[in-house]
Amino acid sequence: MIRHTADARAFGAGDTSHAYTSEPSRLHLETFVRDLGYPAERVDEVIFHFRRERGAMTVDDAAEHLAEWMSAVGRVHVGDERSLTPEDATASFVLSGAAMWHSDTLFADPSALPPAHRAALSAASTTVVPLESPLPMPAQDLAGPRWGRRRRTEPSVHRVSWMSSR
Amino acid sequence: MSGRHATAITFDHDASHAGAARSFVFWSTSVTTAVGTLGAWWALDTGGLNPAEIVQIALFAVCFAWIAFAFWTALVGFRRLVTRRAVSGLRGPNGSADTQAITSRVALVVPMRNEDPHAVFANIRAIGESIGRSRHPELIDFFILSDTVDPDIQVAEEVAWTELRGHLASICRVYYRRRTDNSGKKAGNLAEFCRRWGASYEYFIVLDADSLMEADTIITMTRIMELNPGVGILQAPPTSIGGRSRFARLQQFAGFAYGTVVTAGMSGWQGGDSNYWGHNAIIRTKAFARYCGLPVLSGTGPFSGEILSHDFVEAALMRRAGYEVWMLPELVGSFERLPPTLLDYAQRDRRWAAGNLQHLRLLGTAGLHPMSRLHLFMGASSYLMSPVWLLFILAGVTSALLDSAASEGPTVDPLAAVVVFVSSTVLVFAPRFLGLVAVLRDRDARRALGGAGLVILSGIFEIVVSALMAPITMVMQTLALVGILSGAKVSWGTQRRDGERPTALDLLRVHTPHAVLGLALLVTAVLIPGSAPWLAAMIVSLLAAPLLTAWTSGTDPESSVMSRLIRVPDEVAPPRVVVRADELVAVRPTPVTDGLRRVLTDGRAHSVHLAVLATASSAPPTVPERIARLVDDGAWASISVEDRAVALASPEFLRAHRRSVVRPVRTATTVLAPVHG
Repeated sequence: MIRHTADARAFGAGDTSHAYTSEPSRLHLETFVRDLGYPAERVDEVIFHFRRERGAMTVDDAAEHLAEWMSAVGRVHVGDERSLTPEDATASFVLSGAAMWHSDTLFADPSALPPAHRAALSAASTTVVPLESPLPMPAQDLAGPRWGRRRRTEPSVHRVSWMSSR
Repeated sequence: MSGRHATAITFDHDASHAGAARSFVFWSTSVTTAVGTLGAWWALDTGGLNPAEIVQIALFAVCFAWIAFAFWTALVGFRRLVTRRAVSGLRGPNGSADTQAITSRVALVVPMRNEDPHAVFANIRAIGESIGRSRHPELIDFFILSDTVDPDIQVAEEVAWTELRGHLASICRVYYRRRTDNSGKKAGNLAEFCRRWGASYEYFIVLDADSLMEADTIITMTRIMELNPGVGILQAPPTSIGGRSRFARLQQFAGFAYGTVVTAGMSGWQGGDSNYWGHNAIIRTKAFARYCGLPVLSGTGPFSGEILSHDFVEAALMRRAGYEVWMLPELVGSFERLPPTLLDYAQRDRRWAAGNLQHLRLLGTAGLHPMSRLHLFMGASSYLMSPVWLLFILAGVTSALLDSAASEGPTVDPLAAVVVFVSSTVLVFAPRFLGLVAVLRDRDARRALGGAGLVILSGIFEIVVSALMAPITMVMQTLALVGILSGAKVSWGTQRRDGERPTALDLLRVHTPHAVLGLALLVTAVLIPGSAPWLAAMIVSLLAAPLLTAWTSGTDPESSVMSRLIRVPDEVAPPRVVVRADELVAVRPTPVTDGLRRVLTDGRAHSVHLAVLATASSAPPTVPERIARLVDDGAWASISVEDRAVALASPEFLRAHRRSVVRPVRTATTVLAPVHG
């Protein structure tokens, strides 16, 4: 549970559209990391990496690292040259479930990531559903026998029916 | 039975034994029924037949046909299990290397509605990890098809989904779709999947919220479908697992020992005209979409509206289109969990009864295969037999009262009556006996269960308890049918977790009809002493119903004698996928008690929820101002579930109020609400 302080109020527990701040507060970073989906017991580890390895002392810095890293993953995986905004990067990271992986992952060289992880992080995979490939599914007729009328013709593998085909 | 493997099945495509077995079951049932009915006639006709006796004989014929049919089916199944004959009429993979050679894409679809997300996602993760150990995980995708309407469970599902997606990222893809329009219930949910993504997958496997399957089984089923283009549906009958209450363990044992024999029998004489049970089955997507779309039945009342038990109807439509429907009991590694108490079982049974009863209207549907009509009829009959049995007893009581009033000497031939009674008892219990023999013949299973002595004791114990419970379920099913036909709502109380006993109030309310009938039969037995021996077991069962329900709802410590009885091999040596699912379920996350608060205060929940809403087909609602005020004031407890649902359906509202979760500062010393729920 987040501490009850004015800091928590001001940044709405990690609203990525508002929380980026240059204020070097550990609480902000903690909120940011939690909002990425990291379990509570790994938040400290991730903050440690942010501070020691990337020099990210603020949420701004951390978000910038995330955006750069996610953009690099996209470049390595599908050659996507776009630069992601911190907001898009955060949403993509969250939807990929990457916070369940090792906490080193976020600080690893994108080219060293397993292809499956790169695919999961790339922009195209961070939707909740895949592209549609529709198949029509008409409602069937469950009415009783239509004696004396022509039966509907349907393709079948090997039709079995006790009804006459009149 | 233990140690069997899905890839170890042998197939013989050219042979076909189903036709001969079908004739055998049909003729044997007919002859047995005719002989039994003649015997009943002979027993009752001693002093001439009164009207109640004529009705009694007619009802006896129906009941006797039912048990004779089960008996002959079990005999076919027993023979199949004992001879270990190859599966005839199907092409199968040639060894495990061939099994792994699948090339088709398969979707594992999990329709869910207001279930416990933690338990469901634990099952999916366990299956996913099992798939990770197979050769072609990249061909398999998961689709979680949510019809959940409870806003808190919706948010819990979304959060659990991101975690699941992360855990399975290196294995397979996991998608989450939630419908805003829940039309067609589960069938509509599956149909929507086919309409939107069906063309991407040659096959899909339906998993219920409590389903578990080993990857080997999934891959084997896929390979069988690839090798048999004429098969539309292949059902892997699920084994019941994971029960802790006595009721669930009894059901589990019955399913293992006797269900196996009956299922093998049904599969034996049904062949490619089998049925589909709605889950743990693989389906040919294009054929399903083309031929199995369900309409809404016209009119009002219990026989109209959306089709409730969709599985039987879909199997019938698949068969009507010429595709075969197979059920293979040899496909091990398919599991499901059971309701923990009799009352939960009755609750589920009522839903199934409503669906199966509706099938009576579809018996005349044009073009259906006769076997499909038989499945629809048998499904409805399995519930209709309860009132038939009750009417048979009432007709017997009436006939005894009439005979006693006439008092013209003995009106029943005692010897013939005993012969009929013993024959009926033998037919009822013979499938159980055959099941026990099949278990005893299996050395691995026998050893796993603690030896032949414990298996026999378990069998006797299960027979006694199930005989005591039969009249109770008869009354429950009869009441359920009356409720369905009259439109009355029948409730068996709230759903319980394993080991949680029903309250005394629940027991009293549910079992009042049992007590009334039990007392009425007791009075009859006192008035007509000759009927007492025939009614004694039923009277005891009905009057002891509350005690029996309470006792079977309990659990036993591992060191107790009871825990050594009614064991099943999967309990002694649980399959890997089941162990993993249990491990994952045991780690409970912080529950989502207020979905709206979680979405507005937790960045991850917010991002995922907006992404899910972006796929919704319906227009977002307008959120009333009062909800906004309550959110601004942080008065979470004052926001009703309905209001939470409205707010959660509006992306605009959620974006606008993302930061308004914390109570505005009123004084310098204001104690603030925690921002994480």
